[in-house]
Amino acid sequence: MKIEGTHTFNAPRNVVWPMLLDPQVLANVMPGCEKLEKVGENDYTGVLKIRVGPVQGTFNGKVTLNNLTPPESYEMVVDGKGPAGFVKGNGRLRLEENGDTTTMHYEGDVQVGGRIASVGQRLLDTSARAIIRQSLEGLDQQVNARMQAQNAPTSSADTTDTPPPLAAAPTQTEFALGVAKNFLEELIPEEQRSDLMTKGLVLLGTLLLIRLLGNWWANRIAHKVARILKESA
Amino acid sequence: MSRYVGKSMKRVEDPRFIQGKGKYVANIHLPNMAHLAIKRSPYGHARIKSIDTSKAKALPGVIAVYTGQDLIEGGVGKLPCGWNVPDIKVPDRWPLTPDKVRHVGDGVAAVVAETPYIAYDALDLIEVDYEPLPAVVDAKKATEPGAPLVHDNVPNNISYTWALGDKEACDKAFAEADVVVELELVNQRLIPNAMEPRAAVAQWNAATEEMTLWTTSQNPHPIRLLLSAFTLGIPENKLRVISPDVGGGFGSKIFHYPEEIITPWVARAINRPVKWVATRTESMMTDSQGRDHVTHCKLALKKDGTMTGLHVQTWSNQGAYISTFAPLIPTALYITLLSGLYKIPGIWGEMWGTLTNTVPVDAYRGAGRPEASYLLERLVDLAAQELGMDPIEIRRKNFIPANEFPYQTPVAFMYDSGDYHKLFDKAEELADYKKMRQEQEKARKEGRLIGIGVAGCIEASGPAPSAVAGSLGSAVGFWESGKIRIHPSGKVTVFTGSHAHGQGHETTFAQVIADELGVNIEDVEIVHGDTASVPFGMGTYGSRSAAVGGSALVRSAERIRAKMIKIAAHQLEAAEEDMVYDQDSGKIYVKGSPDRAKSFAEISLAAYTAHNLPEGLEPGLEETAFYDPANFTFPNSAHIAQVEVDRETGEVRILRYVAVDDVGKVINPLIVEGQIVGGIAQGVGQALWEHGVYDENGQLLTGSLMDYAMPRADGFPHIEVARTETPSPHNPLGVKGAGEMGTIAATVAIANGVMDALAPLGIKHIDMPLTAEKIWQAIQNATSGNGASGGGD
Repeated sequence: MKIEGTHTFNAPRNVVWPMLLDPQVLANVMPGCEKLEKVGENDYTGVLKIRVGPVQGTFNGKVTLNNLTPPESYEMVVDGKGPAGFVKGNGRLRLEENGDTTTMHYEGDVQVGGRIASVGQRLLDTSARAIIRQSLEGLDQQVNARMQAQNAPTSSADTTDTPPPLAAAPTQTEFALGVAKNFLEELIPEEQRSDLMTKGLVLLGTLLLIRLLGNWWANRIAHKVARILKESA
Repeated sequence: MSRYVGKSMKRVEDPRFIQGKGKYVANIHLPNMAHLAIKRSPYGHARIKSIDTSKAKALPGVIAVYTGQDLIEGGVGKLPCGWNVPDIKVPDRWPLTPDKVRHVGDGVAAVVAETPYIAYDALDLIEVDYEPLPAVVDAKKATEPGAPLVHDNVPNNISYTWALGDKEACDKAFAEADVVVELELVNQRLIPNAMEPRAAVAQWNAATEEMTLWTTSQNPHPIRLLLSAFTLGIPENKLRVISPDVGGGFGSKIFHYPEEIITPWVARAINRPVKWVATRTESMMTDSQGRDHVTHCKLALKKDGTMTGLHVQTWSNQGAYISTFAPLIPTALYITLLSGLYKIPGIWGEMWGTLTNTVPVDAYRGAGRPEASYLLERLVDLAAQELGMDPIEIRRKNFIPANEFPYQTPVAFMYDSGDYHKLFDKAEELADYKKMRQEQEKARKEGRLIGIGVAGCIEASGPAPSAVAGSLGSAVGFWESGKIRIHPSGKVTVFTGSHAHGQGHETTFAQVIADELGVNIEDVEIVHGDTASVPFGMGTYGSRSAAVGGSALVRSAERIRAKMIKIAAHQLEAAEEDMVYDQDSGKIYVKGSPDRAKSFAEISLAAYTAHNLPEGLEPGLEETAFYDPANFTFPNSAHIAQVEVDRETGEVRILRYVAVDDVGKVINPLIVEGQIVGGIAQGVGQALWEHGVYDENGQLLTGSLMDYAMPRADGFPHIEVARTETPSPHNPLGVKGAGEMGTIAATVAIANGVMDALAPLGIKHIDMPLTAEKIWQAIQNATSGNGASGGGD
């Protein structure tokens, strides 16, 4: 699976860069991230809980950063595994400063194996994109909070040492909604969305009704067949 | 004469199946039973550095955890190959792999626990440290220099090669050809998906040292033999194997599988009954799969459409290990069928059986024969197009004439019988072929993409003369056993060595025996699938049950009749040769005096009371026959499919499907029709939807029914079925196989239909499955003018 994209933060590069190396920040913005710890100069370990379609799994992983060029770029190698399978990947990240904003370019190559690949295949790409999008949204909030903290008129010098308030990580439900949202966005052009949503709801209701009626009919038919068989036997 | 044979009787087994009263392996509950689950590889290819089972063992409710090494030390053997072509390299395959995992799903450890849920939880606690290795999944790429080796001792991943035919005649045909058509094609991998996943239950009797194994097998006796002689080591006379009701096999339940070794091994180790039941995903990553050929083929013809030569090169994906009968499929069931319905003097077929990091591949409904039919019938259609001939006209021009049977092909087989013109006469009439073509012409003018797919296919069914099988590499014979026991009351129990897992033997064999003996069908009971009661039999596959198993039963019935005649003649004080056995009523009498007849029940009782038997005749009434067929049977088919391709979406809709098959004499037309229709559904599945997909790392991307598309009823019109009948001359019932013909013909009938629909756009070939996406892409390429020669991947 290839991952690629750009994202623009409303902050200069020297604000964004340290946040991208801060395990506490990253753990907070990544949906499903239960733990991320710095264990060496450029090494991190963590626990990530992922849900892809019907498969849910906890992954224990190791992240190593290479070729750090502050405040511009780094490469990373991810190696995670758990009962639901494994994730292996490498990626590159580059920050480009444009005045007050910073554009992040990221790309990566991810290999996924095990149950999560064989059963969750159809939802894998969308789930990965949802994780990235939500992480970036979270990061945006953190960046904005930090910028506000910096820009606020301060009287005491130690303000910068106080960590800015952390935005809460999305819950499982929020993440699932995010996946659904991604699906919708990919399936339906924006201008048709509200119309289709209405139709979708009507359709959903109809399907439910058919399902219920269908069960009732299936039961009736089964009984009838059984009776005929009994009579013919 | 026959009261039952030839009649459409409803299946006697159906009431229990559709009321949920069938007894399947998963329904077996034994006191104190423990449950087994297997830890499987998430990698396509990786070295096992270490396995830590301590956490799993500590989980409450876990009884034991075993690794591959534990099983080897515990005496299990390697899984053998039952079909050894010359110079084959059969790599080691252990029930649990001890060193390397070679496909996603390869077993590395087994947990036995108090409940299946605890066993599954424990699997997650087993820590396997893998060193991932580069993988190879493509049959042809596996042989290229530098490809990762699946087994270190099999160079270039080539397990075996095989070739057959007349190379000289083939070369000559191509040198002198007016027209040559060629195809590079992939016959994609299929996942069998029997409705019932595989399962095993084992019970060890420590006092008598006897093992009973219930397993979802199409052939319990050969499985017992392999367990005894190779993998488990319990003597055959101490091992009972039972295949009770089995919910579909399609070939995938022929083979010897690791779980039916591990389950009894563990049952003995913990001295408790043990049960293992596969999940659907587990089945998809462990049941032997089907097809997966990469083929280059070409057909040589004269200007008038006469076929002169056929050259085929195939790389056949064998998967990570050689499954039980894997080498048979792309050799003696594939290259031998390349002559189709035609006289082609110069055929040369060569193949490479290659190892890859995928699930093993073996027989799957049709097994080799659909692959042969597919390429040949695609080439014939391309030739017809090239020469501007009608697809049926070019076929008729090359048919083996009805008066030339038995016909010796250049690829080993001698076809027993057939009348292919008559077959196509009927198909053309039923389809109203001429009108179909006129309608197509009209629709094309309106811009609609309507196609008519024609397929004329041959099958070799009813394996096999044992000596022939032996000369081709078989480790076993392919005869069948049949035993008939007449009880003192005149009731009949029939034991067949074949096995039913959807075929309806309890009905068809009862029809045969009731007619043979002149008894009521209600008085005939069919028993199969238990090695404790049934004489050694070879089981069911290759559409062999009626032709080989049925013939064995006819032979036993003949012996029963002969003995009953002896007893009746003695009691009526007449000569044996003056006796008449009335097969309508079961009465035996002296020619000319039917009023003084002995009834079937009277003679049955007399055989057991033994008060008045001819001198030297043993009491009792029970006969066994072992029938070794003189030849395969060669059913054949003419299928015509009318399809429409949606120009905007690429979606294929089948408008009509007409199937005319010659399966020889028919015991039960209703069952035959069911087999043909079911087979067609499966064949269409391959043509349009099904594909077992691996990525380049060996990850199975289609591991659930969300990702693997099975055929569904809404994809089909009413299937119109008819028959012609040329009886097989060499078996007593005159029958030919009916179980696979539908699958063999339907795949290529649909593919030819879709290509015919796309022909006006200049599209020549798209590899299966012909999904809307692929067709849409091909249409885009063709209509944008940058891919007139074809599309798809």
